[in-house]
Amino acid sequence: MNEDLYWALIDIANGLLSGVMLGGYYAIISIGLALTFGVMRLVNLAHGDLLVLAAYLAVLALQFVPMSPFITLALVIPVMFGVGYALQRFMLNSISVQSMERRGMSTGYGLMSPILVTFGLSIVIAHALLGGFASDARIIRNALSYSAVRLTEDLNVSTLRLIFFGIAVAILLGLHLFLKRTHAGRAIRASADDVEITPLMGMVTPKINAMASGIAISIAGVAGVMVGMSRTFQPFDGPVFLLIAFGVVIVGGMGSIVGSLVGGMLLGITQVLAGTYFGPSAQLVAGYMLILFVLAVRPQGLFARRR
Amino acid sequence: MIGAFLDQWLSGWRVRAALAVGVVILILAPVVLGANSYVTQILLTLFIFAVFGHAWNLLAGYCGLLSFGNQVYVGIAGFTMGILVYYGSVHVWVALPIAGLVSAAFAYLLAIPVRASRIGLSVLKPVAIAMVLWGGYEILVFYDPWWDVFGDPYVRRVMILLVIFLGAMPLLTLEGAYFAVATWLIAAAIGTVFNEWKLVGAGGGMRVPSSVTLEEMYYVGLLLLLITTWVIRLLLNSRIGLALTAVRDDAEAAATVGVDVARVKLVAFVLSGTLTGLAAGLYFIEAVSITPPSAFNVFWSAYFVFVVVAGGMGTVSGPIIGALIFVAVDRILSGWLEQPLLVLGLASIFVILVMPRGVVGLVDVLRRSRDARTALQDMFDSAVLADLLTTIRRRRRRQDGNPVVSAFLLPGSPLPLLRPDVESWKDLRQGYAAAAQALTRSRPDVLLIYSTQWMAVLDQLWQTRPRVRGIHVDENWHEFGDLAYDFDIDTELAMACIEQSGDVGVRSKPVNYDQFPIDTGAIVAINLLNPESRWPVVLASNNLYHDGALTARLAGMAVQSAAEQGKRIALIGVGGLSGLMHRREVDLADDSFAGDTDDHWNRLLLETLISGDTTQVGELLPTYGANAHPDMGMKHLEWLLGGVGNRFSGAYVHAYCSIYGAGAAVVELAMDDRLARRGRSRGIPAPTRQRLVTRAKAPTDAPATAVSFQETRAAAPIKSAPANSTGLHSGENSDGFLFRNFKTQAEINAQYDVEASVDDFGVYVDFFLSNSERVRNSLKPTLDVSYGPTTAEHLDFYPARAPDAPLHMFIHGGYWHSLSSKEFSFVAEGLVDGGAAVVVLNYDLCPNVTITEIVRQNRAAIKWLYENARQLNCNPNRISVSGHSAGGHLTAMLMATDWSGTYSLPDDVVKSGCAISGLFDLSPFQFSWLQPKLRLTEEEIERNSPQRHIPRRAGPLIVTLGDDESAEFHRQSSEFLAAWNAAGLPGTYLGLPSANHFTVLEGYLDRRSPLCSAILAQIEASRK
Repeated sequence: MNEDLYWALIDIANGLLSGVMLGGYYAIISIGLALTFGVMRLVNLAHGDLLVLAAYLAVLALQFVPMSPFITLALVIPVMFGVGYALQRFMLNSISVQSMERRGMSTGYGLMSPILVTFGLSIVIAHALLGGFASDARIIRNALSYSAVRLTEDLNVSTLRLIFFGIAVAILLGLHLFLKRTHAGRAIRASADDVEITPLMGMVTPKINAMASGIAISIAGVAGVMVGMSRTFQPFDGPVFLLIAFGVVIVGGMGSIVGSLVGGMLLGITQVLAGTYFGPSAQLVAGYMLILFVLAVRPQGLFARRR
Repeated sequence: MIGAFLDQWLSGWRVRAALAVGVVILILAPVVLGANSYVTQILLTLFIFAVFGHAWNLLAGYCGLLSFGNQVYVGIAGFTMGILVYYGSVHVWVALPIAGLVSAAFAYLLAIPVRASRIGLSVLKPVAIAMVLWGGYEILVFYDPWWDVFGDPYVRRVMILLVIFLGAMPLLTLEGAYFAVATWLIAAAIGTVFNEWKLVGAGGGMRVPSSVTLEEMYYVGLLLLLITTWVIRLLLNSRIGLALTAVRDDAEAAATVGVDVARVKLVAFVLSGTLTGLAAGLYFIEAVSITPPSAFNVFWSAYFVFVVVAGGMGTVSGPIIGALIFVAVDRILSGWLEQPLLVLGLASIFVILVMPRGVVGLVDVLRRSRDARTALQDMFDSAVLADLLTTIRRRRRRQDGNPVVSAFLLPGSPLPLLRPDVESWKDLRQGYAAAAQALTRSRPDVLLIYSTQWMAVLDQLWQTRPRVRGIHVDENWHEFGDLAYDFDIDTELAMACIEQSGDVGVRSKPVNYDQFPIDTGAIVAINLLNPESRWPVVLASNNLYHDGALTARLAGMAVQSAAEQGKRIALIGVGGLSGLMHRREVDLADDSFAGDTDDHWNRLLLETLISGDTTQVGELLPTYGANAHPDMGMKHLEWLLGGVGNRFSGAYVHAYCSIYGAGAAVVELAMDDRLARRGRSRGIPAPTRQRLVTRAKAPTDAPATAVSFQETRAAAPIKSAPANSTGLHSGENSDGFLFRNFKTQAEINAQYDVEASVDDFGVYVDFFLSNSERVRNSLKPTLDVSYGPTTAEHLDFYPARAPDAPLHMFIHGGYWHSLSSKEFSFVAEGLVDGGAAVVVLNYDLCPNVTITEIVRQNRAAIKWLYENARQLNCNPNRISVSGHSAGGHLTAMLMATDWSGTYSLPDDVVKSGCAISGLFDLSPFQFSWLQPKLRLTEEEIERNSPQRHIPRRAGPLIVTLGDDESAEFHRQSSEFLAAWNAAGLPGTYLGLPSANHFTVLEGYLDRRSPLCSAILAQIEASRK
């Protein structure tokens, strides 16, 4: 076989493979946002910062007890669930579109108020982290950082990414089952479908929302630990993840679990391929262009549910 | 007080004068303070951010476009300035307008294509042209690199590609969060490219050197702000401004009335971009340096949102006030605390939680407040924080025993509210005011209201719409004006009550309508006690078949539910005392009790309440009920006593008098010794004004036949209306008889009130409901088939066992104002068993529509059935009808219809009919309790009384009713049948021994019953 062609194919195959792996990771970063956006119709600007917060939480835990970073999830998930639950129950519920409308204010206020509050929250979290951990870049040390699984001689994939992909698929599957099979899951979906009718069916919307938010933020916590294991992070890194999350949600379609996986993969592949051929900066631009393109041709996202 | 003061002060010339003075001060400020003072600099920042705010407000506040990417103009204008000044040595004051123009151009690029909703063929041509031009440019650069103004092939290509792409993208058609995210992404994408661009410093940024002084910048900034404010004011007062508001409120509706939505959005979007660009240009002249990460940062958008929301979205002054707060917080406060962003972050949260509507909204709240004391409370209530604090407080208080903090018995008559001018009710209004004060002092979280005027039959209903508002027209007192209402419902508590009511053996269900079930009593109570909706309410219906004891248990259950939610309850029972009203017109100023002994009994009841002796109250109530004909058997009082429980220790009577003859009192139940003592020492207050006129002659007592609580509903007056009204009493005979030999409404009601005519109506209801459900499950009907344009026009189809079957339509009763096809599904059983297909018809009800419309719907149903019978596997030439009560009336109307003339159907499309307990003469009902619902006029009665429309030809008719039904029902049927037979039409009478108005329908369940077999025989006869 022609040597050049072979390497070109290997490049593409590597790009696709790591794009797919990146997609799983992106899906986990974004699914929490998709859930808050899809169920509560609120734009949580602190999503990225909460994710970074979880990474720092894992760092903190590891400082006291040396253990596998994966075990920190046992701490991170419940704590982040509590944070998300409390945030929604005691703060965001009272400024949602419905409660603003109850105060006789327009829908615009209902959209703007959470934006402003979560923006404030984002800054507060970042500053708290800055105060507690200084601005040094951190990473969650782990044995897998540099290991790779070799598929062929020239084709390999990072072990960590592979594990993350597995976790991502497991979480998405679990979430899917939760939403379809359990009472609470059905309540969340009902609330996403019609927020006015749900309370009439005997559901307590504030609690449903708080539960959804708790789940969303705890998944963001998992994403945070993953981020911390695969790259360095700083207190002000939140918006970076926020934008990725938004991108994935838009490409995949709001409220679609399969959508966030496929959306994440599409974004991942686009970015990796653009990065391979046009340099690292093109990676970001290509991602933005993909998202904007989806917004232009199919604003509801590729996998939006039919209404 | 504050409001009046503010409004008066802030009007007309004073505002203009204040503004002029303000501008003069701002012009003089640098001269007085020195050009380079700190204040000047702060003011400049204020001007710049006010313009930023105006620009963002233009999109969000007026167009409903929530942009999260206005920072793209900040970056583009900033770098335009940088490039022009640094490379072109252009003076900054020349570069500034150019930066504005470039921003405008970029905004225009984003805004087009204006009309396409997706990337489609229409944009392909310009895109193709752009690609060709791009190709030409690339060739040019290839031969002569001088043309490469980008200085880097990668940036050049990406930038051009991005520009073409953004030009092709229909940004303005995106909505809500999608628009916000799209604008943000655009800013991020452009920022990323700039970050790579060596010409502008590749991430390190560039300088915008200039020699302008702060003073110059100050005046440019002031000028920019003044012009911007002026332009926006001008714009808002122009056609475009109106269009903008229309587009924001409802883009679709705006489009249908001819507003060019796309063009209006385009104007606003480009203007917003231009203004942001100009302000940013000025900002970077002052800041001197610019970097892509900072210029394109999403934090800018957060600043803009802060400025606008803190000031007040959608107002002209909002952004200026917001900029003032922003500068105070971000520049001054953070400067002191040395935590630039943190303070702003906290302030953002604070602003939303404390004044979600911004400063302008807060000022509005203050304006509406009555006085300084309530102003503070209103300010607190308007804050989201109030919600949080209440939630937390409730958690602490949960399960603290009986949560009732105050309890009031209030008259529900709208008269004192509608006629505040009437002197004789002054005491009552003062009583209401005193009760409102007591209510405020008791600091409730929610008002638990039971109004006797919200009458329900089948279930216990609870209002669950979060906010209800509208205009209510009272059935009886409409000529005195409308009742506006607007209040919040505590849906959480209402839902809890619905869930818990099973515990007391009551079936509850939620209702979610903002108009019809809202009753006069609740509106009156809320308007007088809670006019600004300070407290949310829970509204419970009065199920007519609940007795006092059950109502008391229901209240106990509701109070318990509130306790579980940790809510403080004000318990309110709406209803009057003695129920008799004047039946003749009286001068409102000389109101008096209609019944001779009413005053005596009312006073006795009030005295007993004051004494606080629960046993005595319980013993008195039945006697009182029998003598004073009270409103709904005093179930509203039982509600209160049930909710208060053993804490009842007396009462404080705030006011007591008569309203149009009926008794009314504002009573506060005492739950502590202090109030009970005060109540005892005060007793029943004496009227402030002596009645000068002798009492109207006491009317004849209601007929002795019916003094049940049911009957007291009859207390709704047949009032002799003022001259401009419908002239209800015109039908009154000269000899003082209303109708035939009936002198009073009560007498007529007694004849027609079918629910009161039987001992246990509830049993029949259950019988109908359970059988209907069973039949629906077993016969597999097609439910809710639409036969006409309105939502109520639908029918349930029960297919026959064989094809080409005869089709029988049943029309339900309910006095034209209640029930539906679903309560009567059971009628299908016997007939389907006998070989027919059955249709159970549903139709719209009074007062939603008139009886004329109901008749029209019934006729339309026949036409529909005739035309669709084949599809239903039925024979269109074998249609028959039957109906019960009001449905009997409709059956007769169908039999009397001119089918060929009006509907182009065969004259004998209705082959036969059976009218069960039918009503063929509508004239008595104008004098009955039904009149408010039916709104009968002479014309309506004439048009819709079958008695007056005996046809010349018709199929066989069965007239039937239960032997036990009232004399009037028998008269209706026999007179009609007589007229029918007199016209030579085939009609037979079927007597149903020992059946009452309800059991007469039982025959439908069995095809061998007299009723069912008679109908089946009719159907059989139609076989040809």
